Amino acid sequence: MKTPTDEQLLVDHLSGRPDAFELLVRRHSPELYRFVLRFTNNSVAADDVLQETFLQVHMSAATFDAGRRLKPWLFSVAANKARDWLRKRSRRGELPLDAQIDGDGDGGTVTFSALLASDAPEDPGDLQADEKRKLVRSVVEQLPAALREVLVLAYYHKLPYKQIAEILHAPVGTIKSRLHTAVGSFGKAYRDVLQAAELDGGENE
Amino acid sequence: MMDTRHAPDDDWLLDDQLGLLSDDDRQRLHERLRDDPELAARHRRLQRVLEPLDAWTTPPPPADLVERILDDIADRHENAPVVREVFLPYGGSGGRRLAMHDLLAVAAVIAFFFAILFPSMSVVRQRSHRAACASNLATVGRGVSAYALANRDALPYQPVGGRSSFLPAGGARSAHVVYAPNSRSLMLIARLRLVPVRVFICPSGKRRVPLKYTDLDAPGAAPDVQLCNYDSLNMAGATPSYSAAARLPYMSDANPLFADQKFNAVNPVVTNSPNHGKRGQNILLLDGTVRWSIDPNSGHRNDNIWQAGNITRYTGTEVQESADDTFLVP
Repeated sequence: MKTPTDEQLLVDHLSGRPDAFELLVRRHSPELYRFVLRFTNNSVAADDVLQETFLQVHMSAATFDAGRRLKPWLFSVAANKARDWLRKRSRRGELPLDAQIDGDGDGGTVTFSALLASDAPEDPGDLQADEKRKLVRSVVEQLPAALREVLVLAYYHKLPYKQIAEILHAPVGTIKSRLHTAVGSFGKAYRDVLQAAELDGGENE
Repeated sequence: MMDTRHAPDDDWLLDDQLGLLSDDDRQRLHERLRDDPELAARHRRLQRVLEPLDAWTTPPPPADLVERILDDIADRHENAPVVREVFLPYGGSGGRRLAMHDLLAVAAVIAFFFAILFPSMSVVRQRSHRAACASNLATVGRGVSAYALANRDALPYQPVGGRSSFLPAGGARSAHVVYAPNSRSLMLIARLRLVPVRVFICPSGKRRVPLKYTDLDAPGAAPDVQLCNYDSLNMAGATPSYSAAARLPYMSDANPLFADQKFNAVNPVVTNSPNHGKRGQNILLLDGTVRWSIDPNSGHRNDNIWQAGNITRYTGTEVQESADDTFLVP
């Protein structure tokens, strides 16, 4: 039996098929959960945001343009909800939102080409997997939200530029530019963090 | 937003890492990587930049997340305001946009109720105007009564230069006649502050702006007939005393013969005042009573209240045939 598309499931849901929306939730919640978790870096928030996302989709299903693809819309709603959560958190003063990466130490941002033209960061072989995961997570978390979301969508979710542009409501050219900046910023920040860790390690020895 | 300058091949290299290249493009890139050591070096550096990202794995969502999401939706849907259900005509849990036939159906229902209610609303409005008009005339009646009491039973009278006529409104005028609106006499009671000026405006009449007291107070003031849509007993003719003709019509809604400041060739025997859509007119009798009449032949002995005797051409000098002949003019 042919698997129904997302768009067909939404139409079925609007037509009264009781399990259509559940199928959509089951199909997309794992990927959306990972996206929101990487975006907010908080599992409780990811849980809440995902519930809010599907509730919103459920309430607004009738307004969806059946000629478009559903997946970018789901990500778009989730990204909006995640941004709302981050905004609320920043109002509560828990953590700074969108902290700018101080790429060169003088407030500038390292360029993608410059990064590739220089020595790329070399992972120390003895870094434990868990430590490395935490390190990467903290570096990505410090990227500005606009860079973080495009990096997550492109690298982890392998979404094409066109869909990312649709999700983030920006032109494809802007998305490409942001992605290059995000990769450059990540590479530079990760290298700096590693170098700082090496220095700390050296001093401690 | 920050912008990043990058070499033309950077897009290609990054797309390859992200798995966005087509099979053909990937093959072409890898052929170039074999031939171009500098590009291959950049490719390796980009791999090293991105490789740490793979370390950031995420746990799977909680096992019960889907159930909680569906429960949450079900709960909120059940607790949603009833009004939302109006927009869920298919009984599904999602809404849908209003289609054209929905809008047409709503418009038809509105039109249906409007068609039912409009005539009754219109009737209510007419009755309200008629009552307000009758109230105006009753107020004038009290003013005339007060004037007569203070002036030895005389009716309000303000001739111009000792003579008077009514405005024939479009009829041939004589150079030897001093024309002045008959309402000038009527408005004497407003000039004396026995009634407010607003009572000369019928709520169903075309003219809605009342006179100003200053218009009346000027010496020899001739009030604009446009500011009064009632007509009154022709004071240039035989003028009875107040108490001598208690049942004589003294004032009414505008005479259709002279409405709109022109002479109208209508049959005065069957034509009602234009003030209330020619459905009838309020009439004030000298005894102060006001009655609604759908017949202009409502004077003494069924005399026609619009015309003097049987005269059909008016120059402004026509007068009543007798003291009980009603002739209400502007």
